[in-house]
Amino acid sequence: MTYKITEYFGLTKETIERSATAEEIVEIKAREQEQLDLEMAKQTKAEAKSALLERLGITEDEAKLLLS
Amino acid sequence: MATTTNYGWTTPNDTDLVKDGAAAIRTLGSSVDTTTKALNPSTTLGDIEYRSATANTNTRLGIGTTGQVLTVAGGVPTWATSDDANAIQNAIVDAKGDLISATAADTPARLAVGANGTVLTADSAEATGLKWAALPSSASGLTLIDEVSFTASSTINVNDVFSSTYTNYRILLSGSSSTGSNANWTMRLRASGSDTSTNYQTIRIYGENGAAGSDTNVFGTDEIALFQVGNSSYKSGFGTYDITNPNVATQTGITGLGSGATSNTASTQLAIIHAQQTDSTQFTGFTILSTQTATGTVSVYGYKKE
Repeated sequence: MTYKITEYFGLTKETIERSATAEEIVEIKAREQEQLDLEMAKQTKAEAKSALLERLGITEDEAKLLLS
Repeated sequence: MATTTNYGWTTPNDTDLVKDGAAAIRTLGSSVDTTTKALNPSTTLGDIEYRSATANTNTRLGIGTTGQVLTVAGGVPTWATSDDANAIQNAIVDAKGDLISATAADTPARLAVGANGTVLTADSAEATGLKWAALPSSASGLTLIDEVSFTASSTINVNDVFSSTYTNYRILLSGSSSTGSNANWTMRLRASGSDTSTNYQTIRIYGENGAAGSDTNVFGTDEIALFQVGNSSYKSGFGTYDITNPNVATQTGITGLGSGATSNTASTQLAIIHAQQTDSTQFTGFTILSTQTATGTVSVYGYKKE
């Protein structure tokens, strides 16, 4: 996959598009991975929550009611 | 001796002897002649007379020259040259709406009407000292500095939009990310054409998937989390952010609201963020980063200082 960088220069009002450098690609991929890790952490948390609710035998709304 | 009522000419008494009649008539005639000449001193064609300071004595005013007009000077009539050359002539205006102005003392000049909606403005650089100009914007408020469009980009570097002209700025961000997975849009500040990727502190309060949450530095201290865009076909992001002191040698504040709309409600997010960049760098721009390629527009406004 190619990664595109848009650069705008306010002094000349010029916009250019270029391919990301190798260094920039590394950073972009790292950020993509960071996003995926965050998504995974959310999913893991949601699954743990569902498992706990199931073990307790209550629904999410009932859990909210208990904590309110 | 008797005298006439108006001019005091001498006339014989009723009882005077007849032998004195010729002398009396001669005396009366001389008086009439003298008075008549005093009242009619004209000598030349076109001469006119006006009353002098002496009773029964007019002063001759010789005919003037061609084009002269009768006027008054020093309390008496006199002929003077017409001032038409310095009068404002009809020909000075050419069209509907023309105004008569001046380019210097005693120098009238035409000022053509301006375009619809323009207002007359003083400008010493103009020949007439006036010009028609667009209505001035309000003394305070936002001024659009730049608007940048981007297509399928992972990174959008916006350079040279912060300067000493403004202290505070507003950034409006709208766009969409490519499909595939959720995309997070983040921001970094830039100076001299390079991102600063340290010393950010971001607090985020968000609503997502029907629940609310908050976090700090969710993507670390190398960038500012803005908002998340979902991974389905309809996925647009919108953000409004105020940037405080980016070009001042002090900490920079970023406060704003972003939302990532999507048909997948599980991924819809509303995020209120406040962030600080704690360096004293005088930033001149910023970078928008998206974890999926992004297409959209970013607009930069300056808050007027007045």
